[in-house]
Amino acid sequence: MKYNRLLEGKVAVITSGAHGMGKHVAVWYARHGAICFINGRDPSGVETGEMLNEISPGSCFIRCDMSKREDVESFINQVLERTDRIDNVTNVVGINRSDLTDQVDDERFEYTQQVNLYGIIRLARGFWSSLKKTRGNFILISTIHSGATFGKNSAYASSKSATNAFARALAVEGAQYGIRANVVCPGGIYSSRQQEGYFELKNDIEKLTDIGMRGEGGHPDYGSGSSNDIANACLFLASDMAAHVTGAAIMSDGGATFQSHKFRDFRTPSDYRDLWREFMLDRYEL
Amino acid sequence: MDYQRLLAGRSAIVTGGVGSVGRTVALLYARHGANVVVLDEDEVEVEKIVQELRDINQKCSGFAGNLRDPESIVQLCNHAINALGTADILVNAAGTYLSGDAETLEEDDFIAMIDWNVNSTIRFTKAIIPYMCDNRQGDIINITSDLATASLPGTAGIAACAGAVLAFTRSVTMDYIRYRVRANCIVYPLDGIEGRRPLTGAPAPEDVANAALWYACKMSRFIIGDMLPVNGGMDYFAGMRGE
Repeated sequence: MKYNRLLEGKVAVITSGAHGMGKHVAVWYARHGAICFINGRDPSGVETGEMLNEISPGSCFIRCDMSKREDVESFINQVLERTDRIDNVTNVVGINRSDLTDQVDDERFEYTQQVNLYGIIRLARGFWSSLKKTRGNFILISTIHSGATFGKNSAYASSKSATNAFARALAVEGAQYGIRANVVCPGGIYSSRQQEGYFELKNDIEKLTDIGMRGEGGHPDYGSGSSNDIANACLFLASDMAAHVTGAAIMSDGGATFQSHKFRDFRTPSDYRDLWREFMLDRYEL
Repeated sequence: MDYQRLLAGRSAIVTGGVGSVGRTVALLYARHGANVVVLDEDEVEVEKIVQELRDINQKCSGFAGNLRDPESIVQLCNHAINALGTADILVNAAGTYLSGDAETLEEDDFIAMIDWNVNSTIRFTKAIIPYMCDNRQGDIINITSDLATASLPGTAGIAACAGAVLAFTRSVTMDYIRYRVRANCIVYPLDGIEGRRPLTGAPAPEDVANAALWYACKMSRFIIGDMLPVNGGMDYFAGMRGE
């Protein structure tokens, strides 16, 4: 196995690959030799498509609103017109418009399900026969809310729990064709969409260190993660390194969910600051 | 990150390094640039795997001793630390499987399984963790049976052991993550257990080794206290295990 070209000769589809976490996943795949088809609502994703095309020729951006059935179907057709093989489908798209359950109307609930769940179902149907030919695999980005959750997340958490269940069903149905399906459940990840911006943060290392030391989103002693961590989890699952891993949910959450209670009153010793600085710089390495 | 040499310059200790999984992990780690020490019971077999490792990396070595004896384990760890200078990665791959249900499982067999699978994992971790804490980094990978999460007939002993190892993994993470010591667990279908019908075919030792590589390197640095099943997704086929 060539570990520096884990996806040599493969073709991958990454939804919402133009910005944030999806962009990281696509860049990682492209660096490992995969041709990447990314989509996104915002036409500015063309720039990311061009960048990917430079790393891995043949990659491109296709505009698509994952909440609309016609858009998803047209995206699938456009991809299949451009390539005769698909090895991996990675679904990164997801929205969370949180509020208390009695404040969320049907429309918002439905929109969440359309984007987070129906999008995946349509993709799976559309690419199923292609993946059968290549013994390919699905990776669905879910969340730690698929298992444990906190308030104001009912629409999001229910759609993501369904995502995990759907992945297990795909794993069961796909096994006979060699199709694998896995889930990555990110915890607190500071991606460019969530925070002031990945690249800006990298320039302000003291701020980055503060974020790490606050320990938001992960284990109090381990801090929050970066999009790199999710990209590496996807890379592992997409490659032959995980040839026998299917139906699994990888909790990439810095330990946020395995603790039985958030019991520790968290105070990072000040002499840890140097260590944290180094640690966070390392985490945000591109 | 250099994906060809994911463990460049790191020091790894692999227990049960003579077994099929242990030796595959040791060889893969060495190919990724790690200095590896294998620990197991059979002196002749240890010598053989050390020769193979040294063809890849001269700094590898191995030691033999009783893995059921606490003092012998401390001694083995001292040898390993002397050879490596420090310890960055600990892979607990030592283990054994003896069949029987709660009634038929012999007392001696059960004690042996607890010693091999659970006690050795705890004892090695105990001996190595101070070095990891000093270095403010460490990766512990415990490899055990996938009966930790779902059951089969006649496997009471190994299932109990696997569950214990899994729970121990989480607990170690809880206590030592403040020193950047991660612990994760790999579960896979052990050889020789009847009725295993993995859906992607039986995983080869290389598949378990790749999972161990992923847990040892920076690729998985945000994943702690987690369990990765390398078993073709068997646990997700409700009521369809076995035949």
